[in-house]
Amino acid sequence: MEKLEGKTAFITGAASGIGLGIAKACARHGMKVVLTDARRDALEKALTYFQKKNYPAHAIVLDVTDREAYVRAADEAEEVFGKIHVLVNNAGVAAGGGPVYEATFKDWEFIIGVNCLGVVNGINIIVPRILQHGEGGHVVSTSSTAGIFAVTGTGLYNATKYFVAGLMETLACDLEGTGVGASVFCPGPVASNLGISSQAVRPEHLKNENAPHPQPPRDVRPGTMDWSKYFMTPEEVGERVVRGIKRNDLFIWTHPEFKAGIKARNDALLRAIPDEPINEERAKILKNFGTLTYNPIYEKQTTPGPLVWKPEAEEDALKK
Amino acid sequence: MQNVAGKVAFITGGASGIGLGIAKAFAKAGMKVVIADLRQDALDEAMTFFQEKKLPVHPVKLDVTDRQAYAQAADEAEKVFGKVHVLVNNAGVAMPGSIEKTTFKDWDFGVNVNLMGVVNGILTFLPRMLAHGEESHIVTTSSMSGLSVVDGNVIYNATKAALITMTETMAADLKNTNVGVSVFCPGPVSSNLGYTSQIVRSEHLKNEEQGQIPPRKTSSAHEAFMSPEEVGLRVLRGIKRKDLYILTHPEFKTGLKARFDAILRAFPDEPINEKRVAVIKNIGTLLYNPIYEMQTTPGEPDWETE
Repeated sequence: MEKLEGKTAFITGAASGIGLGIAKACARHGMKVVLTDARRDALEKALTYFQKKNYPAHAIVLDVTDREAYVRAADEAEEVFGKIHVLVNNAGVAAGGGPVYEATFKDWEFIIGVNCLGVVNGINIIVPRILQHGEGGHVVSTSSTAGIFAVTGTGLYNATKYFVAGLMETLACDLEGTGVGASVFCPGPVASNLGISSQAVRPEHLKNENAPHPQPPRDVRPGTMDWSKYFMTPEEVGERVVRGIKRNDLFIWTHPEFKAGIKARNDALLRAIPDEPINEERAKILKNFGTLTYNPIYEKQTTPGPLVWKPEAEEDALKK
Repeated sequence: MQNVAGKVAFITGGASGIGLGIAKAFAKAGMKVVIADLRQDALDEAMTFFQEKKLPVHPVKLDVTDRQAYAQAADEAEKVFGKVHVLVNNAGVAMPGSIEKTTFKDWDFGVNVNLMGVVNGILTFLPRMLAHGEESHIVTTSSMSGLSVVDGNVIYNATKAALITMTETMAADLKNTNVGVSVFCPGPVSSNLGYTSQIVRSEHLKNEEQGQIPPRKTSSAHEAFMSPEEVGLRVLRGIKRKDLYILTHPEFKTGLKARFDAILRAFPDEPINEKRVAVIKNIGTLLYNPIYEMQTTPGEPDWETE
């Protein structure tokens, strides 16, 4: 989707962190932005930024797991800005850290509800609207580097993020030729507050019985170094997402240093294929089954160069 | 797990198709097998085979989305055969259709069985395996389409992809225990997934306009597909070899590589921020997970098919 100016983006989990970074980048590129989030206070705080900059933005309180509310939010967005062109399924939570088998059923239900079905809800409610108006559009869903290779200790998160990758790759196939693109966004570490926001949005009935009291937000956890200042900023990843939408990337990456880890997983998978002669008769038949043995959707991915952008602070300094 | 004879396996979706193939391979290798399935008639049909062969197999009627029933089934398995050593999370459903045709009911059904059904199996059996402490293994049936997507199967692909990372993460979580894990990603197998998926679909998750139930064994191409018996033997070998991934069809290699190449091409071609890398490197397995190094290549089939 080359031209973003004047188009409308609908972004979930947009009141803070990565979602807010994407919303800012979309606004900077001339888009009208609908920010949705389950946290009203965070939304109000986020909205002041857009008001100050005179960016066209509208905030809607939305729990992405509530399908009826989602439909109403889509209606409201269309009432305010007209057609929706870009959907960013960004709302996500973390839950059940530690070994997979120590997580509770409540952890699983919470994380699958938001990270998997929340994305499904966005796609099933908004994509038909984008297809209907025919002006083209794009769908981005936030997965993670952990949606492509596993990080130990965050099994539930990994599982939901793989789900999002599998879903978006198939969506890209399903949408071919419609003028609507699809990307899976796989950021490395970003300076956000996923732990805190995940606690804030967790409904009572899915809380664990002996859950520790939520920690007050702090800049640096005691006894640990402040990693976050080395993490990528939400503003930078937002710019990377916008570039990915413009380029129609199937995969949007942020951190080149993850390449070796992903290669290690790819190599493991290829090593696991039995070293045995191919059953040519079977292979010939399978070849005729659509994209079963080979999906050309992967061929379209090209390599983006270095990101060219200026952080807002630098831009503002230049203006002065 | 080199020595499987005498061990007890619990296989979901064990009454037909791949699950039954796995059950046959296990039973012939001297294991005691519990086959769990939602369809009583299919369980009965499967049991006639095992009874004829005088193999120690016990059927349990089980809906894997019912957690209480799952715990009861685990109790029953232990009562009949003793400690359970191998769990095969094989029950799964498919509902083909490209994204714009899927309904929320399709998604709820697919996620409940393919994803939560596996979670239920793991949270029910893993604590029991860790408690008895004997060598154990968990295999979860995913699919090649969990690795490289097939058009028009969005629900199936997404749920099967989730199972792969779940297993990969568990392999790391469990590496200092006596429990191994594998994710099984078969190519096409001559089974009846389309048919069984409709049969087990509960009323409240049925679409209002229900399509016709597909007849069993529709396609003549089925003859070229791998037999459930063969994939069962491949799963057995994978457990013995402790493979992280159990793959079946070498002809999928090119398609898989195409996906990997796309992922690697998508990395921005930009200089590495060395300072950031120095920090991220120290965060556990975030940047590189050594669990992948354990996977080696299995050779040609080393079994005789009947």
